[in-house]
This record gives sequence, C-alpha cells and structure tokens, in this order.
Amino acid sequence: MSVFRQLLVLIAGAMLLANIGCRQAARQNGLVLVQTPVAATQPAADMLDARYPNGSRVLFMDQTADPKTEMVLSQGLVAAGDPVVSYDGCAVYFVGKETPESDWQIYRGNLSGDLPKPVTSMPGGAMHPALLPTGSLVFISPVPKMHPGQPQNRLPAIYLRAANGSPSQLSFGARAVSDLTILADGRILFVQAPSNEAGSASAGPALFTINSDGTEITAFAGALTAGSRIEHPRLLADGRVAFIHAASNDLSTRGVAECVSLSRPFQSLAPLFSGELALVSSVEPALGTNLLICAANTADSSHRLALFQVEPAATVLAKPILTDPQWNICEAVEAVARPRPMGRLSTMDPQKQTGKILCLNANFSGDQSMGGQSLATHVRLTARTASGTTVVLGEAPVQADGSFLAEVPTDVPLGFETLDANNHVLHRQPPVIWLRPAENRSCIGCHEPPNRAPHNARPLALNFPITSLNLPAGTTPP
Amino acid sequence: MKTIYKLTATLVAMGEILCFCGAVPIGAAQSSTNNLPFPLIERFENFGAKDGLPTHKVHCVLRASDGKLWVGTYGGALFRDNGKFHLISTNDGLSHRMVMCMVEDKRTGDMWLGTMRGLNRYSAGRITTYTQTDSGLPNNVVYGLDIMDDTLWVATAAGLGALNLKTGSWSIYDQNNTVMHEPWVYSVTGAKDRVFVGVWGGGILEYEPASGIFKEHRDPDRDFHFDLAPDDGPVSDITSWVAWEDGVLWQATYFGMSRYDGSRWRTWQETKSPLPSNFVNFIWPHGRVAWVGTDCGLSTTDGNIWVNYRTDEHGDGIMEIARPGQPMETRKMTTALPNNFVLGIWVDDREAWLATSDGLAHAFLSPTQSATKVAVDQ
Amino acid sequence: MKPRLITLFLVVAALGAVAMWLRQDYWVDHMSRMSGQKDLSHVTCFNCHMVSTAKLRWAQPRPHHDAPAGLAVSPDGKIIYIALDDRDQIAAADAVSQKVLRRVKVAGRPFGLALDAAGQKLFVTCRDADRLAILDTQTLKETASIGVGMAPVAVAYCRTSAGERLIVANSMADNISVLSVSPLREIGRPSAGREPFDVTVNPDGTRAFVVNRMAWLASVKTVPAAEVTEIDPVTARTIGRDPLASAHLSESIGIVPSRSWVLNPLVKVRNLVPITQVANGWVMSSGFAVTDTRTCKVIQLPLDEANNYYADPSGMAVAPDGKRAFIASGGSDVVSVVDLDKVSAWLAAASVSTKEEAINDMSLSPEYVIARIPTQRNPRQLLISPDGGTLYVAERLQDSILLVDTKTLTTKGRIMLGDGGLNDPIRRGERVFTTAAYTFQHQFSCRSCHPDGHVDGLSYDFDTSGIGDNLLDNRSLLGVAGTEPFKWNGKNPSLEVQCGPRFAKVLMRTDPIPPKELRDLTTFIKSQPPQRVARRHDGKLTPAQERGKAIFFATKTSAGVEIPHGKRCSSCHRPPLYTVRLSFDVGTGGPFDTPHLLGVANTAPYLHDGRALSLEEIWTLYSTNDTHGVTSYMNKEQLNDLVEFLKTL
Repeated sequence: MSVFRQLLVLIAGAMLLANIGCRQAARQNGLVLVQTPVAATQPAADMLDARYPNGSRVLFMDQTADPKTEMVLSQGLVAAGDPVVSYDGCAVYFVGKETPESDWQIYRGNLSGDLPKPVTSMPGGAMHPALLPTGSLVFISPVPKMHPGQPQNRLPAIYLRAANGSPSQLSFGARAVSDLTILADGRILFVQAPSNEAGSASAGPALFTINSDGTEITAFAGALTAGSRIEHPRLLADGRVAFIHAASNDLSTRGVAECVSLSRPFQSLAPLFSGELALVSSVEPALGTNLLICAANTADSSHRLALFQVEPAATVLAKPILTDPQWNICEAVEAVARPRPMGRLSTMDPQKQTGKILCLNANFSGDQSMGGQSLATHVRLTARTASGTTVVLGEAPVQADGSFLAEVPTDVPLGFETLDANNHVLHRQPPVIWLRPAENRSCIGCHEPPNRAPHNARPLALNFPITSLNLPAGTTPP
Repeated sequence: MKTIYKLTATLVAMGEILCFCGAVPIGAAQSSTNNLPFPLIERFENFGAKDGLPTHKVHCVLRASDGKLWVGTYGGALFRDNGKFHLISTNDGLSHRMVMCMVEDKRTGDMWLGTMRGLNRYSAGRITTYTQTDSGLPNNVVYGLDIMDDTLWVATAAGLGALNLKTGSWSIYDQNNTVMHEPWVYSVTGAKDRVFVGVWGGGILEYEPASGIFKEHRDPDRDFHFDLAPDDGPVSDITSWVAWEDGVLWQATYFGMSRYDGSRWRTWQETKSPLPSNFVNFIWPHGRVAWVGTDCGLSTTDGNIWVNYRTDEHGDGIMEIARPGQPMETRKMTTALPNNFVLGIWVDDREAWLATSDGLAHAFLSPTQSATKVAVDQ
Repeated sequence: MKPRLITLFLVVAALGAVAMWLRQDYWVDHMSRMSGQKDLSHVTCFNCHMVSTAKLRWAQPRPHHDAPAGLAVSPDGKIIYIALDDRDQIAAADAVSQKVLRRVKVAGRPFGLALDAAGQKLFVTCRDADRLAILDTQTLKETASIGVGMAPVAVAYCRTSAGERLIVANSMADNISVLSVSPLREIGRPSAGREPFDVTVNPDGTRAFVVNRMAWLASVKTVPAAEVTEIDPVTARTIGRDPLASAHLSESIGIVPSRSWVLNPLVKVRNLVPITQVANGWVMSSGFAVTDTRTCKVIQLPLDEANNYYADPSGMAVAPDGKRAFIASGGSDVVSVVDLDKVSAWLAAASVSTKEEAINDMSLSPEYVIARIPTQRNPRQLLISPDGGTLYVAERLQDSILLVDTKTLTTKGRIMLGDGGLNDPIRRGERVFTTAAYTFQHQFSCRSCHPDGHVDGLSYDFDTSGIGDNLLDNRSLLGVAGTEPFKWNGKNPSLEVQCGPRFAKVLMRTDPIPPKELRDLTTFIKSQPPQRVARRHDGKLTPAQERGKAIFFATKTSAGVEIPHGKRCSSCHRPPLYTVRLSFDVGTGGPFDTPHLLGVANTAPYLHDGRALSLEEIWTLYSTNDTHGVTSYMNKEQLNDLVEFLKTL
C-alpha cells in the first residue's frame, strides 16, 4: 500500500469518526431535565405513572449557550423521565411510554434531535435505567402496579441488556427492587423493599449492592423505617450516597433528601441539608463537587419543583437556578462526559447450575437477639420457588467453629435455618440472597454486623466434603 | 578385675556406714569449715510438683544473667520469676517436652534449650525450633550446648553441630570429617579459642576453629572401666560431660572423672578417691572448683579436698569431707538433697541449684567463704 | 591451521546435525528424555539451551531516579537530609527555601537515616553494602563506617546511661545491630522478627522498638504474626516481643511518649480465609497497632473505610505533642491524619471484646481519622519537624518531598528532587505496581503481597471452582524475567496474562489493568533482579558451598550409582535460571511449575502450597521415595552442603 493510499485511509477514518462521534463538545454546560406538568391529574396505574404523569418530558437545555438551546429528547412519547446520561455525555437513556396504555420502556435519545429509540421491550415494562462501566444498560422490570389488586406476575428484578439486545436477569431475590445507580467501584446500588417474611430483620426499605454480573448481593445501608420508601440513590463526589427518603409508601408523597457516607453507610444516615427539610425529588452530582437538586420551591406559593444548585456542604437550598410556572422540574442531570466507574471481570460461569457457599461461623451474629442461645450443629437451607413457596434444599453440618460449606442451586432466593442438636431452629433467615452460576460466596455469620471483615482463620468446614443440595425434583425455580 | 571392683565397692560402702555412724549435725561442726578452700552447702530448699514443676525429673538448671532461674525437666522448661515457676511446654511451641540442656546467649539474653527432639531458642517469649528435618541441626537428640562468640555449639546423638548465629549457617562435625570415632556427642564446651567435645565412646575432641584442627584426647589405656594408669589422660572414653573454666577442662564419664589444665591430666575414680561414684553425670566448674553430679550425690572438689553430699536411706542429708591424708569427716545436715541422682548443677558464689531425678534443689552456701575468694586465695 | 580445523569441525557438526535431523525420532527421544515430558507440544530446545541471563531485562543497565527513602531533620529544623538510595546519594535540602542545597555520594544504597542529638553526625544505613556510615553534617563527608547485618534499612539514635547508641534494623538478616557511637563498635546483634524494617527509641533511651515487616515463619495454616521487638539499647538484649496477630508488612514505628504508646501501621491479612471475595477486607485491610508499653497490650485499629481503602500503609510520624499521628498509604497516595486524643477516648470507652474486634470493623476509622491528605505518587517515609509544624512526606515515585502544615493540614510546598522519571517505562511500571487504583475499592496493590517485588511469606487460598482447595504459596517476582510460564500450574504463558486478566479476575475483582499500564508493569517486573544473597566478599564459595554445588550437579550418588537424568537437581533446575520452565510432579500433588532458584534463600516457605518451611524440609519431609530428585542417598552433612549452595544462588 502506498503512502498516499495510507493517508487516504487515515483521512477517511478520521472523517468517519468525526461524523459518528459525539457532538457534545459544544454543549458542556447543558442539562437534561425532567419536566412534569403542574396540572397533571390522571390516575396512576403504576409506579412510573405516579412519578411521570402524561405530558412529562425529558428535555435538554443549555441556557448558557448562545443561542440558548432547548430540545425535547422524549419527543413522540406521552410521558418520560428518569434520565441517565452516557459516560461519554452523548446519549441519554430514560423511561418513556408511547401511549397512555403502553408499558414503560427504556429509550435512548441523543442530543442531535433524533427521535428516541426504545432499547427495551420488557413485558410489564422497564424502569430505572443505569449504565454499567462498559456502557451496557441495566434496568428494572417489571414496573410495579399501583394497586395491590392488579396482577403482578413477577417481582421487579434487575436486568442487564446484553450486546444483542436481549435481557438477562441479574437479581433473584424474594423482594421487589427499584431505583438503580452505579457506584464508582462498579457495583450496582439498588433499593430493596422490606421483606414480608416472618423473622426478617429489615424493618423498611434498604440499599443493597450486587456486582455487574449479579454476584455478591450485599446489604449496603439501612434498613430505614418501616413504611417509608427510598428513591433515586446517587453517589456524590464527596463520598456520600444521597437519596430521597419519603415517610410513606404512598407515591404521591414527596420525600426529603438524606444521605449516608460510603465510609460508614450503616451508621451515618443524615439529612442532606441540615438546615431545612425541603421536599426533594432528585439529587444528582454536578460538575466539580456541586449538587443539582430538584426540590419544592418554598418561595413559590404552589411549591412547584424547581432546580437548585448547591455546594456539597450546603445546609439549605437557597434560591433556585431554574423555575418554570408550567412545569415541575423533578429531575436534572448534567449532560457531560463523566468518568466511568471501575469495571469488573465476571467470575460467573453460565454453563454451571450451582454455586458454593461458605459460612465462617453460623453462630456469629450482629443480631443481639441470638445471644445466649445454644450452638448450631447443622443448618437447613431453603429456597423460594416460582410459586412463591419455600422448599427445603437439605441440611449441611455445622462444624465446631461454626463453619459450613454447601453447594447450592443458583439464581434462586436462598434461606437458612440454623438448628441445634435437638433440631430446634435457633435462627431463621428467609430466602433473600442468591448465588449466580459458579459463584463462590462467603459470609461471616448470620446477620453479621455490616462492613465487617472476617477473622483470619481457616474454617473447619474446608476439611470436610462439601454438602451438595438441590431443589427437590419437580420444583420450578423463579 | 570384677572381683577387685566389687571388693572395693564393698569397702567403700562399709566406710560410708562407719562414717554415717559417726555423723555430727552440721551446726555443731561449723567451725571446721574454715579450713576448706570452697564453700559448703548449709542447707537445701527443695522444689517439686507442689511448687509447679511438671514432673519429678529435672535435667538441668541455670540462673540466667538477668537473674531468672531456668529449669529443664522431663515435662518442659521453666523459668522462675518472682518466686513462681512458669512452664514452657510443647503447647508453647517447644519442640519436645524433655529438656536436657540449656545455655544462655549472654549477649542477647536468648535461652537455647536442647531437647530429646530438637533445639529451641527462647527469645523474649518467642520460641524458634530447629530440628534435623527443618534445619541443619545434625540430630534431634540434643545433649549439650555452649555458645562461643557467634557460634552455638550443639552436641547431638549424631555429631557436633555449629550454628553461626549471625548467618544462620550450620556446620556438622562427626566421624566423616573429623577424627571423631563415634558420632554420639554428649557434651561441648567452649574454651576461649577452642572447643572441647565430649564424645560417648570417643573421649574428648579438641577443636581450634581458627585453624580447623581437631585433636583427640583418648583414654590411653583404652579400658573404659578401669583407670589402669592414673593421670595419663582421660579416665575413660565414655565421656558423659565436659566443662571448662579458668583454663581447666573437666571430664565426666560413667567410669570416673578427669581434669586437664592444658598440659597435665588428673583422674579420679571412686575406688581411688573420695569421688562417691564413678557414674558421673555432670560437672559444673566454678573457678577452680568442680561441682560434680553423680548417681550417688553431689561432690565439690578442687582436686585435693572433697566434700560430698548425699541423702541416706532415712532421707537425711549427709555431708562428707575428705581432706588429703585425713580420715573422712561425716556430718549430718538438717536438710537433704531430694535425690542422689544429680543431673545438673549451677553454682555461683552464693548459691547452687541442683537438678536431680526427683526434683530441684536450691543449695545455700556458707557465706564466709566464697568460691571466688577461695580460688583467688589459692 | 586453526581456522581450518574450526571450519572442518563446523562442517562435520553441521553434517551430523543434518543427519540427525533426518532422524526425527532421535530428537523426539532426546527431548522427551531430557525434558521428562510426555507431551512435547510445549517443549522447545530453548527450555534447556541458549538460555542466558545476560540478555534478561534485569541484567541490563537501567535508569536511576531520585526516589527519596529515609529522611532526617536537623535539630533546628532548617535542614532536611534525604537518602536517595537509587542514586547512592544523600541530599541536604533547605526546609525554608525547599531547595536541595547539596548532594554527596554514599556508596551502598543509602536508605535509613538518623542524626545524633547535636545534629553533627548523620548516620546512614547502606542497604546493599551491609554497613552503617557516619557523615559529618557540616561537610557531608563520610567520617566512619562499620559493618552491620545484611541489608540495614533503618537506624535510630539514642542516648543511654551507658552512652550513645545506634539501633540498626538488618532487614535480610532478621536481626538488629546495637552499636555504641564512641567508640563505634557493635555491642550485640540480637535477633529480631522476620525482616526488621524500622526502629524507634523511647526518649530516655531505655527501650528500642523494632517493627518487622514479615510474619514469623510458621505452618501455612496457622495465623501469621509479625512482631514488635523490644531491645535494651544499653545491653543489646531482647527484652520483649509483642506479636501482631494476623498482621504484617509494618514499615515504620513511632513512640507517643505522653501516652506510653508505640504505634505502627500494619496490613491486616486474612490469608487463611478462602478468597471468595475481596469486599469488606476479605483478603487484607490496612490499620495500625497501638501497643501500650506498660502493659504490652496491643490493639489493632483500622485505617480503611467501609467502601474505600488506604492500601500499603508505610511511613508513620507522630507529632511531638502526641496529639496526632500521620500514616502514609503508599498505594493510595494519601496521608491519613489520626487524632490520638480520639483514639484514646475510643479505647477508654470500648469494651475488651470491642477492642479486640476493632480491626475487623471497617466502619470504625471515622471515629479517629480526621483527614486524608492527598499526595503525589507513593508516599512512604514521613518525618515531622522538631517544632511539630511541618510534616515531610517522601513521595518516592514522584521524586519529591511534600511539606504539609500540620495545623491546617494543607500543603506548604515541595522539595523537588527529580522529574518523576516518567520517561522510564520501568519507573512508570513501578508506579502501576505500587498503586491500589486498579483494585476493587483500592484495597491493595501488587506491592501489598510483593513488598519490594519479593514475597510476603504467606500462602493464600485462591478462588477457583472449589472453595478452600487452592492454597498457594506466594512467589517472588524478583528475577522472574525469562522464567515463563507463570502460576504454580504453569499455565500462564506471560507476565502480561498473569498481571492482566488473571490478576483482575482472581484478585483485583475489577477490569484488567489497561494495556499501556500493563506493559509498563511487566517491564518493571522484568527489570527486577533476583534478590541479593549472602556470599563471601570475594564471591567465592565456601568449602561447604562447593561441596553442595557438586551435589547439585551430581550425576551419581555417593555410592557411584547413576542418578536418572530426570532425578538430578540440575535437570529441572538448570542454570543459569535454575529452571527449565516445565512442570513436574515432585510428589506434592502436582505437576507444578518448576520455580527458578535465584534468591531462593529468602523465599521461604517452599513448595506450591508453602508446606515446607525451610529448604531442608523439601527433602526431609516432602520428598519421600525420591519424588523430588534422588536425594535419599545424602547424609545430613551432604544435605546441609546442598542447602548452603542453594543459598548462594
């Protein structure tokens, strides 16, 4: 190939890249806003209807540009919201619905004015988009219905949209999940509804994490008070995780902004603004360390939601930077490129159907109610089936140091019952956690204190053959 | 030969009986101690299981330079702090319970413990073990230890080991690379610029590390039972212990004992001297005085005068003083050795500690005559 | 005539070679016999032939950098002395102008520094020369030198009732040289723990404290523990050893006189727990130990946070008023500020069990860590000015000294020693090697298990298809260039794979290190020479080592019986790398990769799972029936000789 031809190829490549590349550079100060009509009154059929009534829209706005830029990204949709900007700052993913009757799905919009394209087609709808470090979309499906009487075939779970567009399920718990975000370490942070199971320690909703392949389900913070709800968790630049905490499950009630610190998430729950309890609908990190807050504007008699920008140490919201008499500005995200979180190589093997679980000490618990009991000699493992019933997988011996090791079926909610020598149940953990195929999972104990590292001791259970436990024949996993 | 031996033994026994009949309590004869060139033991204080010893059999004892008493027993090592014994056992990492010998590295305070299975360093509470499988230690059975400069000398059942304490390197000296006839090394003692090695069946080896030269001291008459020609060399090749101090080497054998000052040898056997028994386990030289542990009690001697201590069949303590040319003087003591089988000794100017087959004894010395003073006077 | 003969020889040899080439079965037989491998698909001529260390990266010249090591400050606080070990230099810098005033040559890799009370003598440990040098601070000329133990890395000066003393940590000799200053002589050399690394002395000179980097050698299934060794500076005797249970890699130690505390940072290691996860400090976490010198009680406290870690705690400095301690996290480019009043209050309020559990509570550190000061790359040694106003931070891989105002905890400036060396791929690679930025929540770096590229002496149970069935001894990275494949199973063809996806999946639990950084990292690793070994000064072998060498290369037993080729030491551990880079079953459940033996003296424990605590044990305990070479013919002297030879490699 001659030098000339090489040059031609290079130039053509550069032109191609320029053409398909992000044209975001000129819009560095832009915001993606979610506007909901002030006078929305239609009844909400599902959770997103309540958040984003018909007429809600996702809008790109850059008031600092000359001329000012304003572009509806959810053009053609009857309602939209919950935007997430891609890491390169070029694309916006959001939920939307094409007709009042259709399911909510995730759409991808861009800042070139193109019509949004659906990227999910989940039965029962999809919500809460978030982007893994790879750029892959994760979301929750189905969208919970508002009325208990309405049929709800599946619990909302986390899904990953694979490269070929097909969804794969990442979470397999026995509780509903909602409100995703991605932490800087690459984990998926989500809200898990409280358990209705007897014996469950969580009183209210709590924050949990999983890895990007669904492994290592771990409590992150909470649980909060019973009957309350958590929405819209976001990691801030200063190492806090902010979220909206509403006192009621009623979606029509607004919440206040609260936060926990990454350094001690279980002990640091605090109001985001110590000086006031503004009703807030979203908190997002902004350029630098500032925060973008959508909150009820107390200066406005109708308490419409307005946009505020504050420093991280702010105790009050002060004056909004954006208000609109026709709209509630309920969410706002900067349309800029952001650093990608840390990625992760999956240790999962989809070919396998089992995983292994090692408990270091079944007699160790942060749950003080377990104190004074006799020691467990064996543990019974249970699983939740598709029908919602709990079946017994079998029992594994607990060694003198409290350790046990078992091979268990994957992608099903697993529960545990520690038993003493007389087969009396000492402690019961309803099916909550799950293992992914080929996952090796460990825990320190039952209801172990959070953020606790293990003692450095070789578990006795490793000296014995692993106990293999399976779903009873004919059982259908969820 | 055997007849002579038996006859001699019988005579000695009769003499002992006679002496015992004429025994005088020690307090009554106190004044006569003034003529002795070394101190007498005034009384014994004995320690056994009731005091925290894990077993009755005590193999070795020494007082470390920090004042702590160390005791090696069949059931582990102990140190005595504030009047209380603290046991160091295999649970603490000791390689074997049977502690047979000890030496202190006075520069570091580390205590080296030889056991029936391996060597141990006790350093400020931490035990490091050396065995024949995990180190260059020649053999696990460690009978004797001594430290000279940067080298720890280790007498084992399969040769003499030398551990360089700075580099951690081991050297082995045995029948393959020295003039040693037997590899069964019972004892080793440093002697300024050389090392004397007591070899069971091989007499004594003298080694000069600087030149790498080994010299053998063997019993010239080659009869390990009898000293056919006294003072011609080591009394026997069956060396059970060697100890050196102040230019004098002492050899313990199971057939008598010897003394070597670098040019002349002297030998003692029970039939020809006040040595109470040919079965000599141990010698602790203090100045020019040897403290001798036998199966029949303890002896102290400067080579001329002997003082023997034993416990009679009634459990009473007996002291016998033998002066050259004088009849044996026998005294009864108010206290007694716990057992006549003396395996280990440690002595300074004020006190002696004795390891016996049935407990540990603390011997209080007469205050008027310190061993050092006597040695200087001499 | 000569050239003709050579030509003739070459022609004959070539013809012979061709002839044999035509007989392929000969070569197959040769390779099979010599390599001991049935499957020859991965065997080449170069496993045995044409191997040369001269061409390896570590044997090539490399750029040197102005990496700061030990620091010292003059009593008036005006002059900072900086050891530049990679340059063989000592630098003196003006604390006010923040400029280097002067540099002088000090041979032997100067590393640790201390000053006498008057500030007239600068004591320098020379890590590669096994000596301590004394410099006159007026002239910076070397006035005296004395030999100490192997690889001295730290020195402390004190005045005692018996005169001035120096306490020197001999890192590779596992002992401590106690020196008198006048006259300069060694009083004693008590044993330390394993790899003593820093020294401090209490103000009245009655007790020196030495912190050790590695845990005591013990069975791989027992809880490892490094120790703080207490020395009497007057008598040079060991007077105490305070174990740090399940902790190691402490690189500095400081005294808090007002509280009778000794502090040292540490890595809390959890190597006995299978590595099923790294979250919540499952593999290791950072902390510091508080030792009450009156009671000898040790409390370990965490330095990390629940979701963010501060890897590789290294240097530490305590403010003169005892109110604060500063700990540098070399892997996280942070200096943590610990409020000792808060530590004291917490300790007073906590129950005994809470204190024992404290190090495992990843949420605890906000109780007493009041600030995290960002630094440039790889903060290591710390120093506080005599008035307590300035903290000096040696930014080792930035070639600079950061000055921090201890009141405001803000940066006051920098003493620039070099340019950071970013044009050097080895230096860039070292930056990758030492950073925790690539691991999940920044928990650890490559250095966390491979301090200075070497080993931490532990075995870890890696996550595989099973749990608890993959206990593997940590292998040194020193001298690994040219010894591929890697991993004990010999399945990783290159460092690029080993340090890239494998490390990411098994340990980092993140994406692999990006390609450019990975290239630099492997360049750095390949540039690391084997660890220095103790040899005679003239380089010759001792008689015992010579005898051991003969045994190593023996083809017959002492009785003259032929040793089969595959059972000779040198067949598998073939010079010059002392490995043929193939896997063999030596009776330990293999086959396992044949490790190279360069620097093997200091890589205990041995064998794939670390079951052999010493070289001797490889044969005395774990080579039954001559599974690991024919060695049963050896007597104890011969085995000792063999070990002595191996220690020279």
